[in-house]
Amino acid sequence: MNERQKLALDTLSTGVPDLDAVLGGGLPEYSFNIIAGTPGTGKTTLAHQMMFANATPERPALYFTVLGEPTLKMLRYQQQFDFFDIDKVEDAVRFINLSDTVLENDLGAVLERIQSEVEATSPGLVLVDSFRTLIRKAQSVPASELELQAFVQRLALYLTSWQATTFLIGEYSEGEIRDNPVFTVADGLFWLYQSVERNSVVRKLQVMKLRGQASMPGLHTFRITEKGVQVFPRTFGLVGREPGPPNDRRLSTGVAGLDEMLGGGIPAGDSVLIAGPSGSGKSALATQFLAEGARQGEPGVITIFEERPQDYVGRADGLGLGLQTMIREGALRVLYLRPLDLSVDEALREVLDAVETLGARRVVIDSMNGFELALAPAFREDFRESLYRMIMALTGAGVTVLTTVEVMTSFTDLRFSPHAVSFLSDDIILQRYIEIDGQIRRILMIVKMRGSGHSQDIREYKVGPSGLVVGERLTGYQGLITGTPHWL
Amino acid sequence: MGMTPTDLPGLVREMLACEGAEAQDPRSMMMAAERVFEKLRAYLSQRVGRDGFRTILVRALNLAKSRFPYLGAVRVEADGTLEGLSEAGLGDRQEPGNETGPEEAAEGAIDLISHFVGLLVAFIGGDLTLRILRTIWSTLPSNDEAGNASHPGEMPGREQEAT
Repeated sequence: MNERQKLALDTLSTGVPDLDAVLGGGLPEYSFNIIAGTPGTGKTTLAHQMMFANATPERPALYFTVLGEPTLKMLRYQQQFDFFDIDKVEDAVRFINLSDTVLENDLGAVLERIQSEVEATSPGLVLVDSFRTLIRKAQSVPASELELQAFVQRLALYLTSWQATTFLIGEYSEGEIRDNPVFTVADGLFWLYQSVERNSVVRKLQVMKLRGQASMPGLHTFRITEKGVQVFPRTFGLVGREPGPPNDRRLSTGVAGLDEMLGGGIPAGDSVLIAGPSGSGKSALATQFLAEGARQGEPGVITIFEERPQDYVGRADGLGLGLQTMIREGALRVLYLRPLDLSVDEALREVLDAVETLGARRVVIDSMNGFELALAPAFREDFRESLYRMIMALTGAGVTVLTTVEVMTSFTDLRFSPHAVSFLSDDIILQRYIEIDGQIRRILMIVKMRGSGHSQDIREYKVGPSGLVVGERLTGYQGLITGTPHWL
Repeated sequence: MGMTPTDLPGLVREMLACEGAEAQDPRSMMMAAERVFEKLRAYLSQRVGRDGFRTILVRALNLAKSRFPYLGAVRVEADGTLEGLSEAGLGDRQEPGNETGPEEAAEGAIDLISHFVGLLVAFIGGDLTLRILRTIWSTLPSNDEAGNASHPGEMPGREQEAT
C-alpha cells in the first residue's frame, strides 16, 4: 500500500463552451484566479458568464464592484446576454459595491468588509471587479509592496478557507506580470487579448497559469455573441478524440470514370484536393460526391464561402443532383461561412457540430480560396497550420474530406497547389484546360494517392447537364499537361 | 413580461402601502414616502454605491420638480438621504406664494418615487427592477403579475389601498 493516492481536485464547469476543455477539465474549486486584459477584451462578460453558471441560492456568488464600470450600467449591458438570469439576482447572485469603502479606507478595512459579506453569505464564488482599481487606490497612499502582497495573500487565504472560488478582474498589460504580487499568489491566470488588424477584430484567450491542472497551452480564439463568450480551442479536434477504426472502403465520387481512375473510389477517411482553374467543374464534382453519398445513406456537410447557399444549391440542382431534397431529408447541411473575421477554429467548430448532428461521413470545403478570404487577416498568416488542424480533426473522426482549390494555370505553367497544402491531402485530382483544334477542352488526372495505386491516365471530361462525365484516355497527343498538346 | 411605465404609479402606491401609507391620509403618504426612500437608499447604496444611488435620486427629483415645484425645497444629501420632503410638502418649509395642498404634496411624493423607479427601469429593465423592489418589499407583485396588470397602475390580486 505504498502507492500514494493523489488528491482529486473537484472542478466547476465554467459555463463557457469549450473553456472547460482549455482548462483541462474545468475550473479547480476553491482556486484564486485572475482575469486580466486591456479594457474591452470581455473580462466582465467572462466573469458574469461563469458566475451565472455556478451560483445557486445555497452557494451564492458575491460580485464586488470597485470604482470601475458603474454597477447600473454593468447590469444594463450584461442583461443583453442569454446567460444573465434575472431570477438568480439577489437569491444566487449578489452585487456589492465597495467603492465607498475603498475610497475612504485602507486595505485592511476593505478586507474586513469583504470578510463580513463573505461570512454573512458563505458564497461559492467571489468576484472582485475591478481588482486593479482597488490596488491602484492602495498604491496611492504610502504602502510598501510587502503590505500589498500581504493583503493579497490574506485575501486569497481567507477566501479559500471559506471555500470560495475567486476571480479578481483587472485591466493589466502583459508588461505588468513580472514581480507583481497579485500574479504570484494567483492559482489561475486568464489573459484576454483583443487585436485589430486592418478592419477585423480578433479576440484570443490564454491560460497563462493554472495550478493543479494541465491546461491547453497557447492562444485560443474566442468570440462574444449574445450567447456570451464561446472559446475555440486551438487544438480542437486533435485532442481527446479517438481515431476511427481502419476503413478499407472506397467511396464513389458519383462520377463513374473518375471512380475507375481512383481504383474504385476515394479511400474512406482520406483528404482529397480537387485543383483546377476557374470554371473547370470543381464544385460540380464536389456536389456529385455529396449527392452520391446521400444516395448511399452517407450524410454530408458542405461549407461554402463565395456563393450564397440558395444559388449554390440551385445551380447543383440544375445538374439534377437534388440537393434541395437532400437538405430537406436531413442528408445534407450547407454551411455558409462568410464573416470576414472568421477564425479557422470557429469554422471547424461549425463543421464538426454539423458533422456530429447529421452523422455526416462526407465533408466538402468549397473552396479553400474562399475560406482563406473569409478569415481575419491575422488568421490568414496561420492558414496552413489551421487547415492542417481542421482536416486532421475531420479525417481523424473518419470523415472523408474533399476540398476544392482554384489554381492559376497558364498554357505554359502549371502549379499543383498555390497554397502549398498538398502535404495535407492524401489524394489530389487535377483539372485543367487544354487547347485542341481551336477548342478549349478539359482534362483531369490523378497526381497523388497516398498509399494506393491509381490510374496514370490523362482523361478528357465534360461538364454537361448531369454533371461531370469522364471519358477515355486522350491518346495521340503529346504535351497535354502543357495545355497546348501536339498531335503525334 | 417586464413592467411598463404605465404600471409605475400603481406599483409606487403598493410600496407606500407597505410602509403604512393610508390612502386618504396625505400626511401618512408623505411619511411613508420618506421611509420608502430610506429603504431604497439602504439597499441600493450597497449594490450600486452611494454615488450611484444619489445621482439617480437627484435626477428623479429634477424630473419631478417640473410638475411639483414644492419639491424644489427638498435636498439630497451626500450620503443619498432625502431631506425635507414632508416639511416642503406639508407646510413647514413652504415658500410664501408657492404653497401646496396636502393631496398635491402626496401626489408629488408619488411622482418622485415613480421617476426614481422609472429611471431604474430605464437603466436595468422592468424585470430586474421589480425583482430588486420585491427583495425590499416582499409583498409587491411578482414580475408576471406586474407585467400582466389589466389596467395601468393596477396590480392584480391586491386591493388598491392607497388610491
